[in-house]
Amino acid sequence: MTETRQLTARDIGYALCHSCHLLNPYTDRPLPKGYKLICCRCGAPLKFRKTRSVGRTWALLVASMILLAPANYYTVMTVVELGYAQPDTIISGTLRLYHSGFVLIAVLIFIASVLVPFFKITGLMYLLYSVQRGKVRRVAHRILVYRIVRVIGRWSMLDMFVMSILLAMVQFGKLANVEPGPAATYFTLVVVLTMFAAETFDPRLMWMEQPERGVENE
Amino acid sequence: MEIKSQLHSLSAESLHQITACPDCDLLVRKQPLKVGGKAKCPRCGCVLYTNKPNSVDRSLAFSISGLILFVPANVYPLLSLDFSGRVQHGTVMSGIIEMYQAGISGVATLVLFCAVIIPLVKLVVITFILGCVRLSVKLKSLILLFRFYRAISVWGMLEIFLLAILLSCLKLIDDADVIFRGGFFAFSGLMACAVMISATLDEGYIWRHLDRSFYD
Repeated sequence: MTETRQLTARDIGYALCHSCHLLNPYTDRPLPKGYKLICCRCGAPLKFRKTRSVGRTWALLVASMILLAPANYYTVMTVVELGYAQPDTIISGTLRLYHSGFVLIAVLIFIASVLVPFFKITGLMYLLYSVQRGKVRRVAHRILVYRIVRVIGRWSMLDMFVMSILLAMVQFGKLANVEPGPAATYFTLVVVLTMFAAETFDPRLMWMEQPERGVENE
Repeated sequence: MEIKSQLHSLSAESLHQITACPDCDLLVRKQPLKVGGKAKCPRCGCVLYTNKPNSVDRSLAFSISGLILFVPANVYPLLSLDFSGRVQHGTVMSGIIEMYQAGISGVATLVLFCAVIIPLVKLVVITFILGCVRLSVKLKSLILLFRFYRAISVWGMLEIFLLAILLSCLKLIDDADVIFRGGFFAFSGLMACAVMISATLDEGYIWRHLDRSFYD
């Protein structure tokens, strides 16, 4: 087996439309003002790679990391029961659920609100780092990280949905009541920004300019 | 059945027979698929194209059912809570309204979009597109609509909302009697329809059809 670089669409001056997955002829030469290349089937703008993917993803990641601080520092929800208010942050709320015996809920909320954002941010940082360092080995492992990040991202909204339902259900005045705290907004922003970050990252960069390892299964 | 075929040589006449992987840009020779088969990228394993059986009819059935179920799922209460004699009903919207009143309008707006508006828009749009494809109605705007559908797709979060309902029940069931109402079952059905639409929808088929109807 020889080490040959596999042929990509970009190599032959073609770009795959990311909207309808049709292969289109493409060039990144500057066009006369007012012209842009669009997909001949669906009309979506064509590009070899997502525009300024690395920079944009970094920006969104840094912003979401900054927002993670207030999201975990402030109260996310205050439960008022028999006149006694119990403010909780995301972490302390999960711990309280765990100690009150709601182990399953505590584990799921912990995964959705703590582990998923953490894995998304560190995972994307790892991918960006390896793209910028031009690391070519074990790219199969990194595409897996990328796919996991994309799939799990939406599930962080779980905590906010639970809060919305609790707010609707627990409306018994002084007896029992639920009040949201400022961390909810910060946390939602983290979820939205990390979802955008996963969108702006271009996985094709991971294979760029690299000699391919010998191909198995041939 | 999986097809993993790599491109070794390139000639002009074969250009319409090749495609590229959306995740790694590798050029791949297209091959006809058996019904129910899918083609994967030989390098990164990304699904390139599928051949789903009766895709249009099945997705259309689920999308129409979804549209019907959307009404009871959002009108009727999902749950009722009996807290020592005082009964509280909760709909999807009442939680969102409570969030607005509690001052977290940003979160409320996102929940409104992810749990109500985007799922509804997705259902309406896909039913319209599939209906037009099924009846061979040729409209140029279908292309734009399907692009729009694909763009908002990821923001519909019905399955996450359903898990949230179940988790809230588990939490509330200790202090009060939780009664599952009609809205909950309609919502579960709605979620099942949404999941089945994405499972049965053959995007490649729709695109090929829209392409043809535009140039005919």
